[in-house]
Formats: sequence, structure tokens, C-alpha cells
Amino acid sequence: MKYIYIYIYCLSLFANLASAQILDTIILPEVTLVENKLSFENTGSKIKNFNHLRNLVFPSDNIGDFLQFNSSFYIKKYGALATPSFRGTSSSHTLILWEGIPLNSLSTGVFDFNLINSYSFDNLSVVKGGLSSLFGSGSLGATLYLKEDLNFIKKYIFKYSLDINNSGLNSNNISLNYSNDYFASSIYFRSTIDKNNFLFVNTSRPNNPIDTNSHALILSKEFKSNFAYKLNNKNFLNSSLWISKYDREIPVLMTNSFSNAKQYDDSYRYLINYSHKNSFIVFNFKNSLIIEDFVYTDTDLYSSYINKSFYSRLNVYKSLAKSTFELEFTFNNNHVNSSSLISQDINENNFFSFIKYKYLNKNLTINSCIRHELRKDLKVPIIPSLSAIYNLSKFNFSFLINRNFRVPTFNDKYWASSGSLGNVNLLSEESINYEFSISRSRNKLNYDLTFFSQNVDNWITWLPLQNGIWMPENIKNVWSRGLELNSYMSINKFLFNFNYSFTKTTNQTPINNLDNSFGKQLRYVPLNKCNFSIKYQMKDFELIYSVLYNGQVYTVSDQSNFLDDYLLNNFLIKYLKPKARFEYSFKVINLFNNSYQSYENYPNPRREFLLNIQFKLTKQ
Amino acid sequence: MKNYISKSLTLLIISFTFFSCSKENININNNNQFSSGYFVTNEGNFGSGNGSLSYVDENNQVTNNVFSSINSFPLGDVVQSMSIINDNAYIVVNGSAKIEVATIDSLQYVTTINGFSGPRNILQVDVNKAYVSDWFSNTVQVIDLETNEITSAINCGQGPEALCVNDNLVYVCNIGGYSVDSTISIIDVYSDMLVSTLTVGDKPSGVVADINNDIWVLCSGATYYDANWNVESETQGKLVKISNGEIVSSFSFELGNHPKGLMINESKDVLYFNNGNFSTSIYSFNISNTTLPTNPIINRSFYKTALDNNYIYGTDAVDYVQNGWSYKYNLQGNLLDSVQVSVIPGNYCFN
Repeated sequence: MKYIYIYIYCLSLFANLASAQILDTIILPEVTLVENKLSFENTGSKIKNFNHLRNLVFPSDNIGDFLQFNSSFYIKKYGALATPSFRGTSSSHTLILWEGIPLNSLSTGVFDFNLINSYSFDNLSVVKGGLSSLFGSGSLGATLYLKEDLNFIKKYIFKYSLDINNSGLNSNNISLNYSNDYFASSIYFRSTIDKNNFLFVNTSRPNNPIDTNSHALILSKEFKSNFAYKLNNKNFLNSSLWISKYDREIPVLMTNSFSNAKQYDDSYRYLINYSHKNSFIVFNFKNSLIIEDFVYTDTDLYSSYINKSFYSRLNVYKSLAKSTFELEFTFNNNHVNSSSLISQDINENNFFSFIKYKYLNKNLTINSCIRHELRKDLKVPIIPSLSAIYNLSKFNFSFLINRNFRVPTFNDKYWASSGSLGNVNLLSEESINYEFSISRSRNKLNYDLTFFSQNVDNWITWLPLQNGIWMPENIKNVWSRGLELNSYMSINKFLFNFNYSFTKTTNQTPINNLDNSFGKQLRYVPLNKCNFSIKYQMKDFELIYSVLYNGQVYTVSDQSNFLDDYLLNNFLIKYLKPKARFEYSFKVINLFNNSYQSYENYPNPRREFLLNIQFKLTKQ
Repeated sequence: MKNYISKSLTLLIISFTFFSCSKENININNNNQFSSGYFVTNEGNFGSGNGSLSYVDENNQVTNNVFSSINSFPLGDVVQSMSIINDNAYIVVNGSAKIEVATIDSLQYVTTINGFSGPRNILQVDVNKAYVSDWFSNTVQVIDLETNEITSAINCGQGPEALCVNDNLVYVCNIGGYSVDSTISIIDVYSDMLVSTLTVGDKPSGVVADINNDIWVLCSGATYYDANWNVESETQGKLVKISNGEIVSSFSFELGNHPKGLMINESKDVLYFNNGNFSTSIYSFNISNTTLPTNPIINRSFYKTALDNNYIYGTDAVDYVQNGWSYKYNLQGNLLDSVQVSVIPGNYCFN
């Protein structure tokens, strides 16, 4: 019961503060978004916004393909999976939020990047570095914020788009947007068959023959609908439904000759949000249900789970002359049903809250936030963050210090299958993160240079105990530090984009005196990563040339083996005559036919050709 | 999820030990570069295909990745075990479900035997015949050593693991795969027919033949947990002696101990195994003993162990994602040497 009082106290404190102030004019965000402007903007974290994402990607691009060419994410592709690493952290340290609701698996903490199609979203924001004070568990390396964009402008858009490539891809996309002064809607449907039969040089067979990637079929369907109602000038209601189904054959490792493994991922996500805005206060009340239905089958193996998470969230926002307050309170229920856990059904209720205060002066913004979580069987420390942003002519200086965390997953805690056991005594992984950045904007040349240093303690690692049973423990301490440079420049009809990251991530705790991984770079974390693109805009054409460089990565913890660095070149030409109903795009992926691996012994496509045809009807 | 499946599978694949009690019929070619030392098979990480072979020569010099550097391609996923048969090295690659055959004098690639589901161990049973225990198919696959092809399969219990040939009979430990089996299958080498099935104890993990032609089976015992992580029930580990196809005696280990890694010395009269509860130690047991030993000869846990020429070898996989170590002891339990090999060193093959 104690926590209820704490929250009541917090709420009443906030109400007192608010009422003590003179009613002030709130500068509401200009966009007619139903919700507030993203509350993580100006928090000191570096954010890269990709607005109008659909114009930047092919319908068949998954989010990993897009991000590895446009950000510092290192994407590991193995089997059917694509998992991210950012700033040297593991794949469960990137949090994926859909309208603020976490999508990472309750079972594994990971979200497979092959399960999100970048075309299904209007906006994507990459929040670099951890921001757990706002986003909660799992935000250690980065946070991806996926957002729908609905506005009350009279329009009608119908789009059909087809993607095909030379490896057996056929993707059909239909979308319909309709909105008027008080109603906005978007409906999207996609059906994709991807045989994924690309050719590759098999370096793990005698004489290195050219093999075809086989047993790699992906059948996926996705349906999405968003509706928003403007009840009046102060009250808004919106709801979203997002269903996706992926049936995937798991392709073989290069060294193996066959695979029988299949994976089925069905997701059902629903949210409804009510917003009220007046000159005194803004609040949102959001309820969301996320269901993951997972099945993995192989010879003599059947593993499945159905996970449900429910979120009920109240967010209150109050803006004054020089400061804003934000208070968020979330009730969360998680339910996991899995035959691989110690008991078939596990249920937990959690309460999260944060209070955020922002002070705005002419040149200075100070942000502070404190998060508190009450979780079943787990003590989560207070999660604070503090940042300062200072403007000096064209330059911005920002400093951030915060604590981030990730709670153990259900598998970490309750797994009981095939000789591995979970560990209910696990603690949260915790980090202290420092960032400093300089950015310059408002000119033809924009850049942003960030230095970071994050120390993650209690890093969960699965290791066999002396009796041979595998069990997760809070063993490692990992120190990640480095810099990120992001820049873009426009000259006449050219647009240049350049991103570079240097990430030194080392293990700081040897498990015993034989452990040779102490002080060494973590596996699958490139020291250097860089991408570069040039865009040239002509009257009816757009040309984009993009290059990705991934530095070498170690495949073992003592650096005794590694994967070579690689360079990928893509070329895109787009024909888009203004007001024309048809639009054509043609992309060459891996222009120079390079063979490369992002995960040991898993093949990647050689040169591929991708064609997109789009038909569009609009009325405004 | 994949991660956890991988982990489970890894566990499954690595958690049992292989013993071949038969080294008869092995031809040793003294005029080759690999004749004086021994091999260590390194499993590598499940799903990474980075299994490898290390060679340790008589001066304790280690050559890692010896197969891939000679043949320019890696062995594959989870290199489980290796046997030398008729001048060839047969390297069993569990995760890749294949056996790579190479000449033993130069390790030049000869051929690949496919068609398995999860091969564990290969044992020569006749001049031109070998048996392979194959996990998921629950069979012993019969290999024609002339053509290096599978000729037939013999149904066993669940998860056939360790093999031992004695007096034209092959004893197969059915360790149980994902669950529990408690039998051994006895196969006639000439007819490739199942002669009998004996119930020995839960999870038989190792089998050897002694000087008197008696067969010893080590059963690890099983553990079951309840919803609160308490041990719901447990079965005892057992050391079982079989004579003329019948169980003649059986020794039970303390409840909670899960012995593994059965080995026998050169004179075939002393057994060695790992025993303990959380942490294990190596114990010796004379075949004429009437009680189980209480004092270990080597007080250390190993990932896998082997015995050859009256030396005991044991591996340490450190964090399982870096190069591991191999230790060499004499039978009195004195540490003689240690060498660094490769990722998850699992089994040994002695020339």
C-alpha cells in the first residue's frame, strides 16, 4: 500500500505547485498532434528524428536496414533475426517504443528488427544513449520511438505500392488516409512474400562454392489502423490497432547443410488515448495492450509463449513562463504463458512514475527528471537524470548525467528448460551515463559531436555453473565510451550526410584468473562505424548514393578471432514527377558485390536489385 | 527467444560426456606430422559455426584451427568428438549434423558424411564398419568405412550418447535427450540388430569395458524442479556393473550428486569419474572395490575429461566465448601441464 500514498503525495504536491502559479498561456505545440509534443525533446539526449519516414524508405525495408545506413546502430543479422547494438550495449539495451509503449519482448528483452517494417510508420526518432528516467527499463544504449502522424487537415490519399527484387521478394502495400476538421484516419495493409533466395559465397565449404540461401522464406502480413477524433478544441480521442504476422523459415548457418527450424511471430497491439488540453493543463490518459504470440519449431523442439502486457498511463503536463512540469503515472500488468518457464503462467503488476521539471531561460535549458518504479520481487533504484543545454550564438552545448537500468526478463528469472535455469535473485542492470555534446545548426553545415561514457554494472550473463547448469547472473561490469559525429550539409542541389562513431566497450570484470576478456572490447561491437550519403535532387529525379562502413568485430571475448570490416555501397534512383500518379524507384544494394558477415558464418546477400512502383491518388 | 533456445541447445549439446572404451583396430601411422601428440575438439559456440580442432604435439606446442588452416574451410557448428579409424580422422560435427573425414597423416579433407540428425560419437566396430550415436533420430547410424556412407540405422532409446564395443557387442547409453532415459541398448555388431535393452539408472552418460570384459555404466541421475525453484525430486546417480548382459552390481551415489565423465585406465582395472554436488572432483574406483570412493584425486571441476596412457586430461572453457584451456594430470592427481586451446574445448582424440 505504501506506494499508493507516495503517488498520492506526488500528485497532490504537483497540484499545489500548479495552482499556486498564475494561469499562464501555454504555448501548445503547433502540430495538431493529438498528444503532446514528444516529451523527450530537449532533455539533453541527442535525438535524430526521421520525419515522413515513408519518403525515405522502400516498403520492404525493415528498420534495421534503414538504421544501419542512417545511424550508428550496428545490426547483427543471423538466421531470421536482426538485432541492434548501440554504444556497445547488447540487443536488449535498445528500447523500442510505439507511441511510448515498450515493444521489447517480455521473454527476452529483445526486439527483432526484422519484425518492424520502417514503412509502417510516419515518424521515427532515435534517442541516443540511455534515457531510463523517462522511458524506463531497457533504455541503456538507445531508444527508438515510433510515432503515428495524424492531423486534422482535409485530405484524402490512396496509395498502392509494389516492391520486387531479384531474390524472390514481392511486397504489396495499400494505404488510405482520410481526414477532415474533426476526424483523421489512416489504414495500412501490407502483404509480403520474400523467398530470400539470395546467392552468397560459402566460405565454410570446401572450395568455397556459390550457394543459394535456402529455407529462408518469410511470409508476413501487417495491418494497421489509426483513428483520431477532435471532440472539441480541448478534447481529443485517438486509437490505434496494429497487427502483424510473420511466418519465417530459419535459414541455415553456412557451415550446416539443412535447417528445419521455423519461427512464427504474431503481434497484436492496441492503444486508445484521450487528451485534454486547456490553457491551464494538458493531460493524456492512455491504455494499451500488447500481445506477442511466439512459436519456434525445429527437429524435436517446440517452444512457444504468449505474452501480454497492459499499460494504463496518465500523463500530466503543465507549462509556466519559464518552466514546465510533467508527471507520469503508469500501471503495468505483464502476463507470460510459456511451457519453458518454471510455471506455465506468470503474472506481475508494476507501477512506474516520473516527475520531470524543465527550466527554460533565454540561453539555458535545465532538465531534471526522477523516476520511481515498484516492481514485483525486484527493487529498482531511483532513476534520476539531469541535463543542461546552453546556447551560444550558433552553438549548442549540452551536458547530461543520468542513471539507466534494465530489469531481468521473464526468461532470465523463470526459465526452466533443457538444463538451463533462470535466477529469481537477479538484480537490475544499472548504469551511470555521462554525455557532453557540441552542436552547430542553422546554417548549411550542421553537425553534432557527442562524447559519452557509460558504465553498466550487474550486466546479466548466462554461464554454466560448476554443476553444468546454465544460469544467468549479474556478473559483468562493462564500460562503454566514445564519440559520435553526425553532420549534414546542403550545397545547391546536393545534400551530404555523414555519421561516424567510435565505441570502445570493454569488460571490466574477469570471472576468474583464466579469464582473458578483462579490458577487452566486447564481442560484436565495432570500434569504428561510419556511414555517408550524397543526395542529388533534380527536377523529376532524385539520386542517392550511400556508403556504410562497419569496422572489424571480435567474435570471441579474448579478441582471438574476428570478422573483417566491410564496406557496402547502395545506389538509388527515384523518378518522382510532381503531381504524377506513378512514382518509380530503383535501388542497387551492395553495388560492388561484396561478401561480408555481420555475425560469424551467417551469409548476407551479394548484389541485389530492388524495384518499387507506387500509385497515388490524392485530394486536398 | 532464439538466444535462449540456442542456450538450451548449447547446454544440451555440451553437457554430456563421451567415452569410447575401444581403441582397438586403430592404425597408427608413425610417419606423419600428427603422430606424436593429441587432438582436442573445440565445440565452439552453438549457432556460430566456429567449432575447431587443436593439435598438441609432444613438446606441448599447440596448433589451433589445424583443420581449417589446412583445408581452408571451418569444421562447422559444435565440433563434438573425433576418432581415428583406418588412417582417417573422423570429426563429428554435432550442430552441422555431419562427419568430416580427413587423412590422419596430413589432415587433408577426404569427404563429408551427411544424413545425421545430431551425431555425437563415432566408434569403429569392425574392420569396415563404424557406429555413430545420433541424438534426434534416436538411432545408431551404421557407416560403411569403405564408402564413408550411412548404410542403415538401428533404433535405440532416447538420445543415444556414449558407445563402447566389447566382444562384438556395442553398448549404447541412452541419455534421454531433452528428457530422461534410463536404458542402455546392446547391439550385435555382425547382424546390426538390437540384442537387448537394459534399465540401468537415469541418464546413463558413460560406458567402459574392464579387463574382465565386464561393462561399467555411469548414470548421472535426474533432477526435477517445482514452481518455486525447489528441487521437487531427484534420482540418484549410479555406477552399474554388467556381466554377461546382466546387471550384477550397482553403486548409488549420494542424492544430489550427479556423477559424469566415466573413464578407465590403460590396464582397465581402475575407473575414474567426476562426482560432486555443485562443484565436482575426480575420483578413482578400483573395479574390485565394494564402496564408492570418498576422497578425490583431483579437486577441481572440469568441463570435460579424458584419460590416455595413464594421464588424465581436463578442459576449462572459461567464459565459453574465449579460448579455453586443457590440463594434464598424472593418475596421482598432480598437475603436469596446461595448454591454451580454442573455444569450448570438449573432447580429446589420442593418436
